[in-house]
Amino acid sequence: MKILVLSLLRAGDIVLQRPLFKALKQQSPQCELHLLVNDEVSWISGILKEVDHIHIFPRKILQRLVGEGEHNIFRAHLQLSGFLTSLNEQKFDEVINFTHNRLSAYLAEEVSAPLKKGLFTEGPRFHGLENRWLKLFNDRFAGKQAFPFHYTEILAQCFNLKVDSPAAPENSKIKRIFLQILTSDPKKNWGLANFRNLLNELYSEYPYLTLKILAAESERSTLENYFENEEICTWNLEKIEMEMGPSDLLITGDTVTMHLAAQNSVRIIELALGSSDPWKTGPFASDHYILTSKVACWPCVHSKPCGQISHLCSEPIQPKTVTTLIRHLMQQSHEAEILSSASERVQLFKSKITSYGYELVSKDLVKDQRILNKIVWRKILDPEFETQNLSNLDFGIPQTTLAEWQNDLKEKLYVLQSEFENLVHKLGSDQLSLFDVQEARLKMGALASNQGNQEWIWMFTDLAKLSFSTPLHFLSAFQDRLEILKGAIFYRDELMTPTKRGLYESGSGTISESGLAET
Amino acid sequence: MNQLLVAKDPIQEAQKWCQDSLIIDSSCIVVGLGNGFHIAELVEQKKMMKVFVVDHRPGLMNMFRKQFPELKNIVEIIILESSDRLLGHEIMDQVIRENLSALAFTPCWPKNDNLLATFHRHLSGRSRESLEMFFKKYGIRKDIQIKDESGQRYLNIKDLEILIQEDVPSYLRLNCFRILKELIL
Repeated sequence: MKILVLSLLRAGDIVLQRPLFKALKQQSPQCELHLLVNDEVSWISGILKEVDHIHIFPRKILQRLVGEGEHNIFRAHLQLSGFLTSLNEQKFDEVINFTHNRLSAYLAEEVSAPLKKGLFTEGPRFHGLENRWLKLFNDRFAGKQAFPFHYTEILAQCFNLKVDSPAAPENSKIKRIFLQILTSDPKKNWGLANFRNLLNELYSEYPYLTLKILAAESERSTLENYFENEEICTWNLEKIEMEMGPSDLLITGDTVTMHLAAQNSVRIIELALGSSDPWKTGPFASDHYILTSKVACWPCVHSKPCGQISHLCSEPIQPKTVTTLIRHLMQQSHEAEILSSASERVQLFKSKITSYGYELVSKDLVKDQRILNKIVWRKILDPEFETQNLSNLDFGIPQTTLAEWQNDLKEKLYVLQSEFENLVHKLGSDQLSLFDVQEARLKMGALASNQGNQEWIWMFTDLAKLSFSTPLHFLSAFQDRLEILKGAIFYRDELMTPTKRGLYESGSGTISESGLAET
Repeated sequence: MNQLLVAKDPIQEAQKWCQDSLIIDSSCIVVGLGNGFHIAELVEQKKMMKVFVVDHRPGLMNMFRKQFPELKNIVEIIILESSDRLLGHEIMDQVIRENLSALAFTPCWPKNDNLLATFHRHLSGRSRESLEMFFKKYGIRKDIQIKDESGQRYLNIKDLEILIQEDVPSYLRLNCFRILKELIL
């Protein structure tokens, strides 16, 4: 069986997909796994050992052929057709689109295979979004709003894959510290001077440790004003994978190296700056530390340069901040002590992978509300998801606050449900006008939300902004969101009400709206 | 005065131009002969089997032949005085038939000389007239009505996708045009 995975993404994303490639192989051990990647990231091929064949999409050549006036437009078409013909000679049994954009959906249409998963087109029609996990990923992942799932775990849900997280770094002595200084995006860089000062402090505090700067050969000239040649180590990814292990510590803001190191149980301190959002793309393994700052603009939008007068998100993180954290790691301090060591303007997280998935914990050890939202989402989209063992989770939300949130959500559900029924009634009597739809959308757009309900109310404020080809399409999307909202109210109640949690703990029955139903 | 080249170091300029040019086949067309260093460099660097050079300045041809006699069998120079002559010329048929790339060596194009630019648009299939020829080749029956008041615009994939949404033969995958459109802004 031949499976082709489309992964036309940046290198860091592809490294984050490695657990999914492994899961595909575990699911079908006899399968021949093929991967399609952009020519720009072909350099990561060497580490993708889970994949049997890598095909390179000639993106740069096609871009030039189509975009430069020197080549006729049909030339690019000819080149692309030739590439697709040779790809189809493989006769794939299955195509899985991990990319999730229009380009990959169109490409998935062109690859012949009896089974297609993920986003793909068939003429003018897009398929794939009937998968509710994929729809959630599509609607939410790229947005600036807080999202409760890590990239790897939401993709695993979309394609029903069971991923294993790499082993957490052992609690052994750190023998080497690597500093990865430059990233592909200037707003993610902490700064050469900061790294120099950090290195100096580490030299004086740990003279017996090996300290190295990790860099690409092409970065050497940028680094040479701050670092000695012998301090710089230009390992490629294969070498990093081969050489680095549990007795190493990596301090980095670069995604490729970080994810690769995390997969090899190297300890990590991520400096999450600029658009880096560790909730979405942090090291996907337990027991890594993430440093960031408490500034309102963080995390910012990926595709735009920093719009601030100075690099606000990096400023609160001083070399001293990092050395304090390293000192704790060297002394093998307790987690709570480490997490409370960060200063007021700095946020320090620790990554964990538990039965409910990836999470970041901070100094008060209270679960972030994202975890509650994540569990509720999982129950909505997969009612079989087991939550009985989650009854002891402390989200730090007082019962009175929770009751306020639930009441607010129920009131909004009532209003929205009435609005929906009114529109459906008008549709049934052939009286539904575009004006009615517009009026409903205006009301949705004006919905206010308290902090606890943002995750759910956002669905409707977002719906108000979307365009639909017909009122029926709008009503269908409206109905879908109402069902999710009902699920959110029900499952949050189930998870958070102490009496009901108590009943679950004793295993005495299930809860209905009217009370206890003995089983 | 005709501009042959502007660079202080024509060989270095020719080398850079060649390095930056995307060549897929062993033959291509170059619009603009200039003093010919770029042509010689192209043959040398890209191992070209055949280079067609189109220009409207007949005087340049003799200079080139004297300077680079060894390229006589590889470089074919076509001097044309008008764009109509180009559209009726055999080289145009060859471009359509073989999908040849047409490179523009603009440093040797005289200022305000639209003729070489027009040659280039025709040869690169990005003028309305040459696009009609390509359509004929691919069996697309479509009246081309493109908004191009100046008549100087290079057509792009977005123009083409709009044009061929109907009447496109099945072997010419329409979806490929959608893919290509996604690759540009």
